[in-house]
Amino acid sequence: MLRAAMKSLLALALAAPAVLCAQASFASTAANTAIVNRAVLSYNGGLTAESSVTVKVDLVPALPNVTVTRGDAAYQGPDTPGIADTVTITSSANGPATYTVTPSVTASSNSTGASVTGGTSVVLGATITAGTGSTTSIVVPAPIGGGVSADSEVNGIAVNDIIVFTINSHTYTPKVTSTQYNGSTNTFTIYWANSEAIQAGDIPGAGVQVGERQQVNLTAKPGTITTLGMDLTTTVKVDVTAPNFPTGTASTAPANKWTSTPPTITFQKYSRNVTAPAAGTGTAHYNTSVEGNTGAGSLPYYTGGVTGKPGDTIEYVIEASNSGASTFDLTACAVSDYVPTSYVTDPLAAYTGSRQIFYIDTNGVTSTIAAGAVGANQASYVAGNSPNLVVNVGVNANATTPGIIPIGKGVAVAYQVKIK
Amino acid sequence: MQRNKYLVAATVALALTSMPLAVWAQPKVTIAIKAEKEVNVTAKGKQVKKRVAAKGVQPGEEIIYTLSYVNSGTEAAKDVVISDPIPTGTAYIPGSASDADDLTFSIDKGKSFKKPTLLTYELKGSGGKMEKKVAAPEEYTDIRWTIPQIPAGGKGSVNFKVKVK
Repeated sequence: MLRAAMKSLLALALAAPAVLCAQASFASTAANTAIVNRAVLSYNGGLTAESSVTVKVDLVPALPNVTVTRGDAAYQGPDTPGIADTVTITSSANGPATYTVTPSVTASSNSTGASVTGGTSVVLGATITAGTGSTTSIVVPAPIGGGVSADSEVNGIAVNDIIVFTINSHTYTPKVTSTQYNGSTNTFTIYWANSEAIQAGDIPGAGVQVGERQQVNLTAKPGTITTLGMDLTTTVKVDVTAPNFPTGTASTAPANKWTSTPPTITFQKYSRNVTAPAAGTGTAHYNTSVEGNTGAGSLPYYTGGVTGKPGDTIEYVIEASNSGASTFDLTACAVSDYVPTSYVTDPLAAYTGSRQIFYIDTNGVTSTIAAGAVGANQASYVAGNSPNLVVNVGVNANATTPGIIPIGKGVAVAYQVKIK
Repeated sequence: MQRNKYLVAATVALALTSMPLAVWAQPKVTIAIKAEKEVNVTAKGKQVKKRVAAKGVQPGEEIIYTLSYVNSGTEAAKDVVISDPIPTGTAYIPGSASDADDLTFSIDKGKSFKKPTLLTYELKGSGGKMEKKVAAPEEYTDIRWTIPQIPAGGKGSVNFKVKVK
């Protein structure tokens, strides 16, 4: 009797560690797990009857973990270039589900028409461990209705999937290399490579949530810049939803930024005394295209001005160019000047066709323009206006519209006045 | 001689008459398990609980197992034992098993069964001495009912609840 009692006590003592392990890992159960209850009734010393019932564990919706990246780029033009934003979604549920990724732009600066493209749906597998794994494997329940052969999907987790689980505050993200069905326990073992082995102290027991991680690529577009030379920003928000899951899963990335380098404009006004050529001050400069039209020979122009007497003719040359430091053309270009009519006459009709303005376009082609009322010609001169001389310059410039100076191109405007 | 003949005939007739009783007078017990869960429904404007078949359950929910037995034989079944392992992935809910019959539990996967207060195991304590611990209900691995007898045509049921891990 005493011996039997000792045996019983020993059996219970041996069983205790396993029982305690199970208690310590009390946690959720994977979706699609079969809970099988099989009872046996015995009677009359040997006759038996059996019955069983199976209950399936349902999916427990849980908010996935969502992160979104941002990026930087140099603005090159409308919606160019796009910046790749990567959405990383990790399931925290106990089973597979389909998640819909819907991106939107929540804010933008210095642009119009900012947008984002690339939303889609992804299926993320998930499960809960059901046994003790190893440094390169986890043990999970075989799902009801799932395949039971090697390398088959296990609750949405298949070979080459990235799975995520956390043990002792260590988060692991191994890539699945194979799965193996264990018939005796109706479980699957999911393996990954030795190169991704987890710490020995982190070998997962039962009850550890394992979720698949996938990435969705979005493209953020800047729209059209408002002010050249100022940076643009576009903030992208991503909503992730799944059927019957809690609403409100969203993640907003820090703003994408496009830098905008301002165009470099070279703009200089020169002068020379046509009547009595003399050295001026500042840097001497030649413009042969203009020089040949004044009869003054190859006299240089000076940045600091020249001297003259009343009655002398002074010729001004204004040069403007887009040096090409940025990637943008100069738009809406017009050259304006303030003719000091207190000291000099109105612009003289000194050029071919008795016109007041000598003009060199962006292709180096010269022409003369009559300067009259505003809107009548490409050039206008109205003594009472300030500025009183305005010339629309560049490509497509006309009487009412300023033109464009492309990268690396320039224009020049010249006119003459007589000193009073 | 004639008298002996009658005696033999009577003996054979008696044997034939009694044979069906010997062959068919047996107990025949069957068992069926039903899994249910309780859900909240609104009836006449009030929230009431209703039992429905547990086809699917979520972790944390309770499953109510009802084991129904019937003796469709012509003789009483004796020494009836119903053994039911607590399903993997669930934990027994304390006090939920019907205890009209002799109810015992196991914590060693059915090797031994005892009353809850006698379900103990030893653990090494902080001082190195072995200490006796009473098993908690969630540590139970099996449940067993012992029923002395189910009369011919008799039926009954036992039940218990588990919580899905």
